[in-house]
Amino acid sequence: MKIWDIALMAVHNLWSQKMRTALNLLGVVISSALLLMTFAATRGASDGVMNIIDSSDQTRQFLIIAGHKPNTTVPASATEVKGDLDPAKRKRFEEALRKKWIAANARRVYMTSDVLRQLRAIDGVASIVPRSALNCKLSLDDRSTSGSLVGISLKDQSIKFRLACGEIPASEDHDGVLLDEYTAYTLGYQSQQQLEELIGKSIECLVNLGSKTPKAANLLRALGPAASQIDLTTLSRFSSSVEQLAEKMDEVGLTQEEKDAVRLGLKQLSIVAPANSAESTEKSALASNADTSASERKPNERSFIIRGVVKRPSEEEGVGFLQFTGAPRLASVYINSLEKEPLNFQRSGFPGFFTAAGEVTRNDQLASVVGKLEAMGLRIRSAVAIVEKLKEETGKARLAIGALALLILLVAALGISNTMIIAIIERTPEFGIMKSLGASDGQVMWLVLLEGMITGILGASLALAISIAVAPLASELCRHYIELRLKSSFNQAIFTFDATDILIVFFLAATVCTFASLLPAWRAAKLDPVVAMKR
Amino acid sequence: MIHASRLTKIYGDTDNGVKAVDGLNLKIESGQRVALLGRSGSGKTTLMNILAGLDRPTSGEIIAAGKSLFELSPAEIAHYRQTSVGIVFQSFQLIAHRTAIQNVELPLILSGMNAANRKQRVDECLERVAIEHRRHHTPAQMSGGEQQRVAIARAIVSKPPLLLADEPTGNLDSLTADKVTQLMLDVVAENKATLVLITHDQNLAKTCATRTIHMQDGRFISDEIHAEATA
Ligand SMILES: Nc1ncnc2c1ncn2[C@@H]1O[C@H](COP(=O)(O)OP(=O)(O)O)[C@@H](O)[C@H]1O
Ligand SMILES: [Mg+2]
Repeated sequence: MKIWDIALMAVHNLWSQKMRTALNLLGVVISSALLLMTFAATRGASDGVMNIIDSSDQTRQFLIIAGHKPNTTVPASATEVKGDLDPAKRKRFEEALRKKWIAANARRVYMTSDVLRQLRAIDGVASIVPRSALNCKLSLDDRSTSGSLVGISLKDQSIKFRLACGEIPASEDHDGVLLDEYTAYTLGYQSQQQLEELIGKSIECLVNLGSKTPKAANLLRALGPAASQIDLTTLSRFSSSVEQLAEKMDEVGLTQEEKDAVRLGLKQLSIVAPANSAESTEKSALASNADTSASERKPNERSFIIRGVVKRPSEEEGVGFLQFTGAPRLASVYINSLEKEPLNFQRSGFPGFFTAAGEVTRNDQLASVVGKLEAMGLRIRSAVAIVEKLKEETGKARLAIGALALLILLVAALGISNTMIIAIIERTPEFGIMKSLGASDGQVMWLVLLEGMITGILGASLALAISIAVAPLASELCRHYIELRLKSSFNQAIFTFDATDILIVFFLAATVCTFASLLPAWRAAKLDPVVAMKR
Repeated sequence: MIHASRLTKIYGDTDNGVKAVDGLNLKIESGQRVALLGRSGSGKTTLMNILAGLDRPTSGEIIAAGKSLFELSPAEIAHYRQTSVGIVFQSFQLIAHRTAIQNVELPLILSGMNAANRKQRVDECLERVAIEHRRHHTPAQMSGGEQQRVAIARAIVSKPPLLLADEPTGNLDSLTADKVTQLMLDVVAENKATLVLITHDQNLAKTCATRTIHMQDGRFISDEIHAEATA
């Protein structure tokens, strides 16, 4: 007997017992439709979340913070916790001690020009922009104002949207800058037409590279980790004492040898800068208090050409849903970061940048790039963990709801198995006749199994048709509800029917129904034809 | 040719159960038309079921189609029923939800014949038993005589060498019964098949069989071979 003929016979049998078939189908349809809809809804939800994530620039961005040299071995003695403690507590304390030891002893990894070069060479990295601003004096025509100079990435799309006129400088344009609209205003350029006139003009920039006077910040850095042991007031006082010592070296009663030793020490600790360089820092709270009188400046003068004028970002524009890089920096003049960095590195004792904003080309590169940066000892803030978590959570939700629907399908299977057994008992004579005509056990078994399998496939097909028909309506209802709750419009698709999900549902329905008919099929196959026909 | 030896069938336990068939030896030559007579309960049906491979004897053996029947696997016995035996039952035993065509077609489906050949064969057989006009009717829509003709068509559709009929006319009025019997004898003659016909009609046995066996309490009490029957 050919399987096709058995299948036809099975279809005939199902058709000839419409009531029973309809009952079984109902169970399969309800559970398959539930399964399909939950699959579609969870896929819709996870696709929606992923769309939001993928369409967001913020999942391509990350913040880099200076860290410590990785794989530093901490001596066991440093983390030893004495006393009778419960193991969990001991562990916490040991971890705290370990962190403290690393902060005090491990070599710091700052973003030096070497490190920056390495970072930019990493596959997938689109841009790295150290976060720092340099104070400067700007002169245009016969007016001047004080302002700040900030590095940007020329690939940064957000700055493009802020252009009031002109364009972003080309990458080979070493002098091209963007001017802030308010700075333009203070320099006398107010109307849009006046702003247009600015394009191509040159602007003089006197960059403040810091004071030669040693400052608390320098001391702080020289002291390194030890600085954390001293409170700020003491440090500030200590700092001014050292400054005084450095300045009034000749007035103190030290021998020439002693003075030389102190000078050398201070110099090596960068507390007293070499004659032509000094520094300020962007990280220290103390730095902002530092005095920077004009007479002590060692200026660096540059002439830039204005290529565009940019608007100030509004507060909301500044920070996004998954943004880790912080709000964009405000500045008077924006310049290609690669042009600005050498100015920072000119400052003596500058250990390298402390923070930087990075961006990868595609968001699927984020995780691997972040991994590489962390391996270098840098600390990274990014959406990687959040995106992973979101994917994991939507996956879990899918599984949980899918398991529930599967349970419903299994309960339906019990019902199907039950009606099938009853039907087999009713149809006992039929199977007896078939066997008397030469049907083998296998043929009878296959017939009943196929009846089950076809019920499953038919049920899943009906369920698919119903689900697709109902989805738009259900979608509207859900959308209405979601929009009410979100208090904003929601444009993501809610039900997404995926070929894999549909196949899974068909497979499950067919398998479950086939298994449900396994016992009835076996019963039918094992009937004694003589006894069966007497019924 | 069928050769049965020392066939015994006991219902219930071996010592004090009912001996439906009691140590029978039987040799049926190809082409013989055997009438099996005997009162109700004498063991005719039991013997027929054993010959058909539907039932197993408690002891004894049957050599049919050159094979020892009860040493075959279940699948092989199924194949024997499919290819070597056609059975006509007293109560027709048609499948209620299948039409005449579909009932007659069933043995051919089981043997794996393709649809085109099947249709031709079924049409021939339905025509042969003069029931073409009922081809799309289900058993419930047919008279007893019509149903039995469909059952005969089903029994001969595979052209089996052995046709077994267990009181095929028992449920029919005498006029219809005669027609059905005649039909069966005709098709057996055409197919050159062996016939075992269970009946309690002495005259029928006389007129249509080449051999008459009387059964009582599971044994043969007489076994006569006639000259060529007049049928
Ligand atoms: N399944 C069965 N279980 C028990 N006894 C049976 C069974 N089938 C038949 N018998 C008994 O076997 C004997 C022969 O029955 P059967 O072959 O049907 O006789 P017949 O067909 O000649 O009327 C009877 O006594 C009957 O009661
Ligand atoms: Mg009988």
